[in-house]
Amino acid sequence: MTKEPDKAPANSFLLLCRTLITIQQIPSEEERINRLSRYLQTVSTEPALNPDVTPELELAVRYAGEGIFPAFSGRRISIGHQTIAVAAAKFCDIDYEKVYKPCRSATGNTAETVGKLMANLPEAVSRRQYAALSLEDLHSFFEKLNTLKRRKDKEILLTRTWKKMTASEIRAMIHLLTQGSLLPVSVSGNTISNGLDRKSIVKAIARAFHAEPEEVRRVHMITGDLGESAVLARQGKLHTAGIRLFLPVPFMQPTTLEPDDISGSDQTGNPDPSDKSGSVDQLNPLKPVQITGSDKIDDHVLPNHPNAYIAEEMINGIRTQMHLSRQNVLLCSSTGTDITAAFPDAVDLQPPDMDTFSLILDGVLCICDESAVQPLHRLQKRMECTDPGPELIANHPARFIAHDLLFHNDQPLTDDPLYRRRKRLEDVCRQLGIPVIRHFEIRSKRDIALRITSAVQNGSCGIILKNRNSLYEIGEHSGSWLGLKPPGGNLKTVVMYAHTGDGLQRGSFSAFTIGIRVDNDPRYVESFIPIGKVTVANMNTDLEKLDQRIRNLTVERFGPTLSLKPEIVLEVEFESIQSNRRTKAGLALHKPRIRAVCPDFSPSNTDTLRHVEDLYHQHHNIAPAPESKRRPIQ
Amino acid sequence: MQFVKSGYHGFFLPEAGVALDGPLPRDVEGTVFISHAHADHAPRSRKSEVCATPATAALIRARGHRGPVREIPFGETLHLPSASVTLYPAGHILGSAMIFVESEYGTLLYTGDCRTPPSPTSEGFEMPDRHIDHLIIEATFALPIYKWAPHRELFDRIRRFVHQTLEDGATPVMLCYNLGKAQEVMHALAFAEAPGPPIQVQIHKDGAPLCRVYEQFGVNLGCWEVFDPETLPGKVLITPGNTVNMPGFNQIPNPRFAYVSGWAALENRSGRTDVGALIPLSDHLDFFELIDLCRKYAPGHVHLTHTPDSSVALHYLRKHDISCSDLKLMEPAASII
Repeated sequence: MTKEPDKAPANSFLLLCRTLITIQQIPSEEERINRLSRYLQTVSTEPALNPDVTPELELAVRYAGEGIFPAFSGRRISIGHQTIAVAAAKFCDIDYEKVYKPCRSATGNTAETVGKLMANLPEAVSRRQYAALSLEDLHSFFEKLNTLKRRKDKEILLTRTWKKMTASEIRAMIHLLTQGSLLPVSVSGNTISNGLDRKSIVKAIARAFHAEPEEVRRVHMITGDLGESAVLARQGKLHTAGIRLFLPVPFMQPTTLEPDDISGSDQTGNPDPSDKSGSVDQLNPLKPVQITGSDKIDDHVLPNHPNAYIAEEMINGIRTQMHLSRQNVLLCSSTGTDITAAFPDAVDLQPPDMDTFSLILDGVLCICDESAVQPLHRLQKRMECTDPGPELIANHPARFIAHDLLFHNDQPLTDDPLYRRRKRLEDVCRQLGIPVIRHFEIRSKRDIALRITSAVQNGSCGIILKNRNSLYEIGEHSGSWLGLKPPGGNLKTVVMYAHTGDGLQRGSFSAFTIGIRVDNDPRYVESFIPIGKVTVANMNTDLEKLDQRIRNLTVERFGPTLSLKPEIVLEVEFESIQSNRRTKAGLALHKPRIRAVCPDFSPSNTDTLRHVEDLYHQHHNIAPAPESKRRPIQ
Repeated sequence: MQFVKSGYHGFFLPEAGVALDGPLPRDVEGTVFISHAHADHAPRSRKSEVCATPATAALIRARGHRGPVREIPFGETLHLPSASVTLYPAGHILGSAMIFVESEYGTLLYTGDCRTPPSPTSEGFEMPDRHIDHLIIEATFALPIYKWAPHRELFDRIRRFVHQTLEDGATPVMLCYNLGKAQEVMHALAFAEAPGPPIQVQIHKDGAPLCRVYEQFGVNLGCWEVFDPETLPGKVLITPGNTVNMPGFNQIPNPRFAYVSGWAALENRSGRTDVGALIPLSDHLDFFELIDLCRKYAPGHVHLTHTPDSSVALHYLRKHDISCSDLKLMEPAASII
């Protein structure tokens, strides 16, 4: 039978859980930082002497602020909520359907449900005996779980570990598996009432080990690992951190300008028809683009700094980093996931003196056919397959197009200005046979408008304006790179489900599932079916007005999700339409965002699925199926 | 025994001529009993004639009831033409009663909202010492994820939150219902054992007349006054969650919110993004208290009511061989009346 110890042992997982629970109950943010800092001072780094063992301090910080693995490692454990739930129901000796599911519906959260059942049910309490698991023990458990493929094996391992844990440890462990970091973490720097944002965790590390917060932040950006940053801070070795080959580096991201800054217009000229640069896939012609009042462009890009910025196309593909040293190549995506095996053709580089290269490139993976970039849906076919066969590769050949150089011949280049990095990039890529994205001069708004129009006609989603003097700001959304993307289209849709948020967005609506009309469509019996999910960021005023209406229209509640009568009409714009086999519509809107709430618009006049299908065919240059043979797109 | 739907939460017993927490059907003679003064149980019509405990009578009058209220003390039996009715303390809020009805059709206990162990601001909890043929029991928190910590532990949490917030120079704002929970929080703070002057509380204006009733009935609510943003600094504000966006509340200096309710047991139920503490202090039975109560008193049949999902409690009661079902209410037109 579990006996919760009054005092949790040092370096134990229980001590971490209790500390984080305490922190969440402290009202003052400053005191929360102090409390975390005091805790970090007590955690051991002794196993650091053994390179095969992860220091417990590293684990404590990672579990608190990032998750099971470093946020930018691309590693994650594949385990379904149902595997955990079924194992928990068996452990607690309860009926999964009759007892577990109603409880899960009430909380809307697997970790919270299982934690409460483990704490409350006498059967679950009697089966556990606290064994003072250390942070290293838990790390070993996660590593072991990561190697298991069969659900049955995962259930056995979970059950065996739960027998040694308290309810709060079990809840925290499931939270790590299903939701990530244990502290509610705001990555955007917003105030959070019962957690700490990343900046505050960095402050706690700095305060614990008498380091400069800015230096800890820099190391976190370089390593992409809060835990490692804490260990280096404790050891006084922050200055030794640097970019390393085959360790993914967080990408620098452009600041995307508001859609209102870009609009379709007939006033600007057509793009230069002689321009054959960039991707040349001729898709549906779109309206030329006009740049309207953007302070960023007016104040920084154009008048005072002629030629300060260049433009490059934002190619529809996967943002990718290439690490190359001698014969070894690594491709990793924006989450740090290793995708090398899925794109062997993109790393098939055979320059005569390959052994002399060591570099890290930032670029984009796309499908290139006869030197033209192909539409995104062709890349999706490759993304679905982690081990592609020769036929798939031949039909959809992938290519890496470079646009920046971060590291070359053992030297980091991130503190060099862009124009200098660019010069070395061009030299290196010429030798390796890697294509480099083209830069265009920008002197006026008209140049920008023409370039956007041209980019869209080439199948790209927009352009990025880059300051020639910009440094490569690792992991930052920098103002020295500006993204300009015109919307792919807009639709009138209805709200089918409202989702309440957790953490920072607890108690308010975080997202809506939007539906498209199929009431006159013989393929469906419903009136509306889902077509996408929009977040409700930046619409607080409308949300307040919508709040009561949503409650009045609620038909059913599934934990944090409310099913609504389809009466609220939203105008949404989106970047593109993609096929999606898991949806009833067979299609989903890519990156939809709310343009407006339409209180006077009738749901019966909203856009239909047929209209969306026509847009999809038009965007992808595919002939629509005859009316009699139409099926949901698969 | 028949149960006929009556009003929002109540029902009528045609054989006994008694309506519980609801009005009598049109053109029917009988007596209305009110279990307690919460709005979903108190009479909708301010002029209706009801029977209730003296404390409940005082509370519903403080909330504007103008009709005649026949006061029935706990344990005293009222003999009606077709039934005898006795009120027992329910432990939910001040004056809350369980209603025991005896008639030639058997015995029935309607718990209303109840709590055992009882709220320290109520008159306690006591069951009739007679066999119960029909137990109609509330099951608001009838899932095994709900298990309440002892009052003492939760009161400590309330005090710790308040002391820490005041020490930080901020204003503790306790979000809770005006009747019942507000007085429990005040009672908890009245017994604060910190050195220095007692904690001063301000309460939302609608809660003030209810606090006076509590004090009339001998409950210690400590040092309190009606909310005034000018004099609030250094004091605790107790107010319902839906009032904090109202005029005057935006003047609260550096507020820190705590949500005090049984629903605070769930992380996503505070209804606000800026709540710093969730304190699950409930005046309802938790799942385990419900099952234990039914097992201990072994009624002939258990009827569950006031619940969003009774399936789990029914599943457990049947595992213990207790005859049970949801409370099935007939529509008035379908009854024998």
